[in-house]
Amino acid sequence: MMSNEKQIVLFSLDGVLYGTDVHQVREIREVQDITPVPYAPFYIEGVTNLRGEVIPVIDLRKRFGIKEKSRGEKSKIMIVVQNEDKKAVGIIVDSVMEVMSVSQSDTERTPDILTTVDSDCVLGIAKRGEDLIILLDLQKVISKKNAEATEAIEELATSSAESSTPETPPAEISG
Amino acid sequence: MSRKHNEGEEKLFERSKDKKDIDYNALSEALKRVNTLVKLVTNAKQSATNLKEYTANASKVSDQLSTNIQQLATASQQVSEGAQRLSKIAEESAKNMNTLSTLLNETAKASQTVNSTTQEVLERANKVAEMGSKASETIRNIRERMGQVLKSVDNMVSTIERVGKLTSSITDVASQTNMLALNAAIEAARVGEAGRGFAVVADAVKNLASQTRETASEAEASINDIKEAGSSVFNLAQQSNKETVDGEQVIRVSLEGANQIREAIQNVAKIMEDLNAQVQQGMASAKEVVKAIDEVASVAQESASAAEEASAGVEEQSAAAEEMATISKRIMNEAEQAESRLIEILAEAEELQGILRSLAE
Repeated sequence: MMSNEKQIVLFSLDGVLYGTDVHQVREIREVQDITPVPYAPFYIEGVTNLRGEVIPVIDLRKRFGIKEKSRGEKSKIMIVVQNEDKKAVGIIVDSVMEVMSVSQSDTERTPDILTTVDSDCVLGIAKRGEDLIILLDLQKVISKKNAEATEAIEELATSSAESSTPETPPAEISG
Repeated sequence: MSRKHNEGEEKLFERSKDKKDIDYNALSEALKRVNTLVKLVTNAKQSATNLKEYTANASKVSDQLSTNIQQLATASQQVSEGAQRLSKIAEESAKNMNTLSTLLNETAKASQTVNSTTQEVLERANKVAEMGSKASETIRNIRERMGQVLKSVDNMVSTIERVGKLTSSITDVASQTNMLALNAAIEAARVGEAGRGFAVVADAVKNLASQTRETASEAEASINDIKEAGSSVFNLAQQSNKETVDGEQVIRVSLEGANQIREAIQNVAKIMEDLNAQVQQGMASAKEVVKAIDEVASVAQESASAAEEASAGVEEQSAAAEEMATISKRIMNEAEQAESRLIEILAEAEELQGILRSLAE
């Protein structure tokens, strides 16, 4: 049972359902005040104060190259902890629905044609009735593939800002 | 002349004394008698002449009388004719007066009809005024009630708004609860097998939260519906209020109209009353006039018949006068003849007297 099933946090972005392993998510927050940061990559929304801890916040829409939309009541920040330094990063999504179980049998390997997200980040596709859920590795999305960006933000957050930080386009890295 | 005769007689008497051959006594006697005769004839002649003159006068007078009578006859004829004309005129006048009387009667009847009509109109105008003031009162009541409705709806809307705020805070709480449940579920999942029971609780809480949110959103929808309904009721009530104001205006105008009609009708009724009085007076006068005309007619009739009678009398008189004239002419002729005969006789007598006188000498 345990090996066959895994718990995921179900969320949505631009009408598409995504799932991420519950272990990658520390908590869910309402979208609170975010301070914009100069010279940050375009998908970085800014920084926010999470119980005294200053964390960077990423807009997943921007990160995925989806057109912007004004945030509603349902918009949430998922707090994800990075693998390497265990530092938290906020990710803004359209909504967070629930914690649910998906079985291995309902999960399929990703076809290699996904354009909006790196296939590395996509772990597979789960079925729930008629709906499809794209299973994401959020840690890869925020850290491994975009280290420079997150580092730049960390620098900005912890020390004084450096003069130039090169912007990195979101989908230029290939596997 | 009588002295002459007397002288002749005395001479004859004296001669008879002297001459015995002539019977002087007889001669004197004859002379005496002739003298007397002459005297008598002279007197008779005188009388005849007088008679002739008198009868001439009488004839003249009777002629005059006849003429006068003729004139009188003509006059009485004229009077008769005039009276007849007057009678005719009086008859015509009586007819005219009757026509006038009929007209006046009709006028009186018509004025009575007008009177009753005006009475009806007045009653109707009164009814309109009554109904108008009733309607006015009703509208005022409606307006008052409308005002109350407006207030109530206003209150209701503000109450509903408060309830809406409550539901939004309920929604808020529900969404926070949902978040808590989500985080609790994440927490439970991370703990693994140990957190399974906790996960069930978190799920139940999440379900409750979503149910609460659903209910709250349903309530919100209902509240929105109520708000909308309330505001449309408010608008309607406001419109009705405006309409009642318009209605009041209309009623006021029609009330004024009814009052004006009433005044006008009252004036008409007054005028009709005056007219009626005048007609009554006119009828009374006409009756008097008819009476007077009747009198005139009867008088004219009487005078006509009187004139006719007079005319008949005059004719009789005229005949009498004519007869009298004829008689007096005949008398005059007789008198003339008598006179001329008496003149002849007087001449004879005087001749005889002369003879006798010469004889006596």
